Parts: sequence; C-alpha cells; structure tokens
Amino acid sequence: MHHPSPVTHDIQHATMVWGLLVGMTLCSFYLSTQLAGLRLMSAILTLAILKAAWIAFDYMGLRRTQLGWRLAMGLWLAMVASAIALSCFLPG
Amino acid sequence: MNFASQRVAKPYFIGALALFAGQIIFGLIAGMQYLDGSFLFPAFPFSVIRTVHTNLLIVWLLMAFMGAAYYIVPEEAQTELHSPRLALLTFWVFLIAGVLTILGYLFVPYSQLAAMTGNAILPTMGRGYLEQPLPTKIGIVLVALSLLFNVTMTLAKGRKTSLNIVLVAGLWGLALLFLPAFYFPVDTVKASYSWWWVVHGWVEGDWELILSALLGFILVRMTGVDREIIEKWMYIIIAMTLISGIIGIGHHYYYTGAPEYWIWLGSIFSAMEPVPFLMLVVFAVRMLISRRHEYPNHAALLWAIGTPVMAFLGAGFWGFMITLAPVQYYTHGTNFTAAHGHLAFFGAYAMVSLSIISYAMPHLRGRMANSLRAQRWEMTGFWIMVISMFVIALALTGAGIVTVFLQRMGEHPISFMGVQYQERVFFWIREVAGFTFFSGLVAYLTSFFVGGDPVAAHGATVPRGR
Amino acid sequence: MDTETLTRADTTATQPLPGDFAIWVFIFAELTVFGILFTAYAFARESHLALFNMEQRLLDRQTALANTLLLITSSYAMVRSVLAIRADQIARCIRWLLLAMGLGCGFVVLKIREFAHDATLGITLSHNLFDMFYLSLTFFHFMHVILGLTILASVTLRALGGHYNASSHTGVESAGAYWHMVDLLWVILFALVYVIH
Repeated sequence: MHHPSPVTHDIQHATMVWGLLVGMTLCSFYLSTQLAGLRLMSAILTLAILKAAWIAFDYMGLRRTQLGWRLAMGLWLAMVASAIALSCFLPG
Repeated sequence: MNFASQRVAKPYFIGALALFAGQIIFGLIAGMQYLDGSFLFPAFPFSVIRTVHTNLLIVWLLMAFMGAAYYIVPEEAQTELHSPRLALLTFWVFLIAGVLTILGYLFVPYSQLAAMTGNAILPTMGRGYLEQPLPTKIGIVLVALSLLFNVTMTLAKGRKTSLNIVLVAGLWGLALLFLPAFYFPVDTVKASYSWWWVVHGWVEGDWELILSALLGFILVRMTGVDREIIEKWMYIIIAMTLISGIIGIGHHYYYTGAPEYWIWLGSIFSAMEPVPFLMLVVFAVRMLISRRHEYPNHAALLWAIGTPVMAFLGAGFWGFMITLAPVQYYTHGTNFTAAHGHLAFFGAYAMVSLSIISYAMPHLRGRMANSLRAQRWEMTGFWIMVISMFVIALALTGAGIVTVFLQRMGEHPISFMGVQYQERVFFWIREVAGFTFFSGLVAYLTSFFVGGDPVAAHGATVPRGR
Repeated sequence: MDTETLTRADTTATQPLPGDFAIWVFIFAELTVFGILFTAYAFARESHLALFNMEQRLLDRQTALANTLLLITSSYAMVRSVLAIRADQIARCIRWLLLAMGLGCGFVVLKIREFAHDATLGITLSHNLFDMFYLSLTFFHFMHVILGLTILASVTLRALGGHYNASSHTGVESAGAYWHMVDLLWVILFALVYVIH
C-alpha cells in the first residue's frame, strides 16, 4: 500500500478534482466564445489552464514524491506556461 | 554458449572485424587525399576511396548484426538455430559478394562497372552508400532473406522473449528499409526521399531497435538484473525512438524540394532524437548499479557502457547541433556532417557491434572471459579508439565551423577550395588521430591473440546499494 | 518484487513514485516533445497572428469540448481503478478500467470524425502554417491516445488474468500515470489550439 490515507478520502479528493477540471473546461470554453480578444480574460484563462495542469500533476501522483521529479514537472509547466502566455498576451 | 549452432556467429564476427580494419585503412587513405590531392591518383581517386570506406562500414556492420543475430536468437529462444548450414553458406556468399564489389570499385571505372552489371536494366547505382551494382544489391536482399528465414524459424519453434522479438523485428525492418535502394527515379526530389529512407531509416529508426536489443541482451547476461526490468526499458526506449525518429527523419527533407512543413516537423521531431540515446545511457548505468554479480569480462562491460555514452554524444549531441533548419541552412554538407557521421556511426553502431563481439567471442572460444592480460589489451584498444574518434570529430567540427564562416557567411565568401586550404590544420589533426585510431584497432585485434588463463566466474555477489 | 526495490532506491525520503521508474522517464521524454511543440506553436503564432486567428475559427470547438470532457472523465475512471486495486477490489478495478477505455474510445471516434470533416474543408499539412500545427499537434496526440488505450488494454487483460492485487499493482499505476499524461496534454492542447485567441 502506497498511501496510508483511507480510500474514501482519496475518492472524494479525485471526484473533487474531476469536478474542478470539468468546471474550468466549461468556463474557459464559455469565455472563449463570449469574450474573445480580451487580455484580462486571456490572463484568467492562463491561470485556469495552469491550475488544470497543476491538478493533473496531482493526479499523476507527483505531489508527495521526490524533489527532483517535482522540479522537473515544475520546469515543464513553466515552459508550457510561457508558451501559453506568449499565445495569450499578443493582441489578436 | 549453450547451443552448438551459435558457433556460426564466429565467422561473421571475424569477417566483420576484418572488414572493419579494411574500412579504417581506406579511411586513412581518404584522409591523406585531403592533405595531398594527388596521393594515389589517378589509380585510386578520392571518390573511389570514399565509396570503399563507407561501403565497408555498412557491410561490416551488417555482418556483425547478422553474427549477433545468429548468436543471440538461438540462446534466447532456447533452441538450436533452424539451419546452421544455411547460415554458414550465407556468410560465404555475403563475404565473397562484398569483396568482389569492393574489388570492382577499386579496379573497374565506375561507369564501366555500371555497364557491366546491368545498371541499364534497373538503374540503382550512384547514390552515396548505395553505390553497389545491381547484382550486389540483389545479393544483399537474398542474404537478408536467408537470415530472416533462419532466425524467424528459430524464433517460431523456441521461447519467444520480448528481447528476441524486438531483435528479429529489427532485422525485418532492416531488410524492408533496404528496398527503397531499388527505387531511383529521375525526379531528384523523389530520389532523395527514397535515398534517406535506406541508410537514415536504419540509423535513426530501425537500427536503434537492434542496438537496444543487443545492449539489452548483453546487460541481461552481464548484470543478472531481472529480464522484466531490462525489457521494460527496451520498450520505452524503442517507443521514444520511433516517436522521434519516424517524423524526425524529415530533417533531411529541408531544401530538397519537399513541402515546407518539413522544416517545422523535421526540426521539432529530430530535436528529440537525442532523448532515446540519453535514455539508453540512464538505462545502462542503472542496470550496472543494480547488478547482481561481478561479471568476469570487464572489457565487454566497458564496451556496453561506452556504447550509449558515445552514441549519445555522436548521434545525440552532434546530431542536435546541426539538425535545426536554420542551422542546417549554413552547415549543410560541411564537415560538421562528417563529424556527426563519424562519431555517431562509431559511437552507436560500431561500438555496439564491438560490444557484442567482446561479449560473445570468449564464449565462442569456450570460455566466459579472456585472460586479464588479453582484457587489458582490449581495454587499451577501447580507450585509444574512443579518444581518437572523439579527436577526429572535434577536428572535423573545427573544419565545419571554418567553412560556415569563410564560405557561407560574411561579406566576401571564399571559394570552396580556398576554404579547404584554410582548414588544412584540422585535416592534419584528423589524419593523425586516424592513425592513433588505427593503433587502437591493432591493440584491440591483438587482444584476440594474447594468451593466459581465462578469468573464471567467481560468482561473488556485489553488495547492493549505491 | 524487484521492480519495487528498484523504485524505492530512487526515492530518498517521502513517498515512492507511483508506478514504474521507467514509465516516468518515458513520460518526461514525451512531455518534453510536446513542450517543444507547444513552444514552437506559440512562436509561430506570434509571427503569423492574423492567419492563426482567422484559421482557428474554422475549427470545431464543440467537438473539442466534448473530447476534453471525455478525456478528463476517463482520467477520473483511471484514478478510481487505481484506488480500487489498492483496496484489493479487483472486479471494481477492471470495471473502472473498462470505463476509462470506453471513454477513450469515444475520444477516438469523435476525433476521427473531426479529421474526416477537416479533410472535406481542405485542411491539409501544406494548406497553411496554422493547419500544419493544428493537424500535426492533434494527430500526434491522437496517436498517443491510441498508445494509451493499448497500454490500458494490456493492463486490463493482465488484471483479468489476476496479475494484480493490493500489494503488487505497479502495472496499473504505470498505465494510470501515462493515461493522465495523455489527458494533461489534451487539456493544454484544447486551450492552446482551440480556445485562446
């Protein structure tokens, strides 16, 4: 057994994460159709995506493991974040 | 060695080493011609010497891979080879055809060779690495078919390990990827597609499968680590190879008339091609750290660790330097490419062949490992060859940089021959390093003739930990 | 057994990595490939802004939304199957695995329909730079979904064969980690290619 926490707690956690992801997907989709081209909205979107990525990070089980893996994942997310920022903050 | 039929690998290995020595000698001559253009001219012009140098490379590597297959497949399948006699016959056919082809290059003018061998019926001659006359090309296909028949039948009746399946699949890929050699259309764009699929389809795709299978086999045997773990690594390395390599081969399509999107796809995916080589390094080092026992053949261990490291440097690092489209725009066809070619071919495929030879030859000669004295000779050869090849790559890189700056950039570009003259110092370094490489090869070959008591397996276990 | 020891050797303190060390190396290699692709997309977009904004409108965003929800939910099913096997509930683990695969197949079907539709619109690799990126990114990801489904299928078969239990289920965790990666990449792709403009 890897995780000492009770299974029910893990299930609740996973369900909550799933709900958050679905919510943010719908939210970003709505924003993109309604408020195209606004920089502020793009910024919110970036945050939402980063949050989504963070949650996936959590899903993938790295949250509680070795520093090296978390650093590597953090670096990767930083790379993606810059790509997203580059795509977001240009006026279109 | 558990099966008598594995013995057919021996002539293949010996033949491969002899051709390897030949390749180096012709390399030295070609290097000399860089310094003195009239050296051996007109009897043996540079174009011929270069053809012999590169063709010998391909033939000896194929021969070593075939030897490796005949050695590994029965052992993995836990059964005798389907037909040892066919394997032996194939060896002689291959060797004689290879030698005849080389003699043809050397003593018959190329156009005459083409006319003599029916190039008019199906034109295939003239492209780099694929200069072989039609009968030789057909011979290569027949030899490959014979090998495939033999190992596939062996695999079919024996134990089917993942390692063996990957190796045999790699050999099938090798044969299939040779077929574009028969397609040489007049349209130069199409011709260059099919040209890249052969040798570069091998080196940045299919041969990496063979390489990881050979390395996996050696490491299973030498480290005693669970087969399951080694096979898992093999799978992810292969997956990464195919993910990066299949589209990454598009880095050859830049500026050849292929659609523009190859500039993006080729750059991005080929930039990832070093990753599987890096994974090979991590894999080999980890397996070595977690080894269960001390294997008496230290020389083979050295080759097995040296291979991924040098492959990463030569194929990965040097390849990455010139792969991006904007960089390739300037470095195309310079000695940068030659530096990468030398270090990658040696580091990946020559060294993995020498690794399997180093592991298998003592077994084929009835012992687990050679005497300590013989191993010292072999390891000396290893270091001299590796360092010399590294110096060759550095010297060629230097020449490449000079070409880029003097011939391709700047206000007043200098002509090709003018630049060649400026680069003489690098060609001298390369030639000297070539001779030291040759001395390393001599030391390596000497190790086969040094006697002494073979080192026995003492079975001592290494304490776990780091 | 031995895998466990090896995995443990990699982690000094805290908790061991779920799944196999090798799959994590692979995941990071894959993430790097996609990271480079995303960065290249961002730079290409920067220099061809008008083209990207115009071409993006032609994409089918509803399907992409449905696909995102499918993958996220499939990932949830995957988490549940890992949790089930940790609690030694093999039958439940298999049921969740099957659901994860079913949802993944749904993605594949929708994506194939989208590609077919694109073909009728004349969206090809050579059409323009945006289409080149859109097609290569989504097709490359599509191939990863196929690979992920293959991995899930082989894990399901092994689970059916009784290979996993509460104390030994590295295979399920490895497959889970890979499947989450496929989903994570799609979440970013969805935002980057379909949404942000």
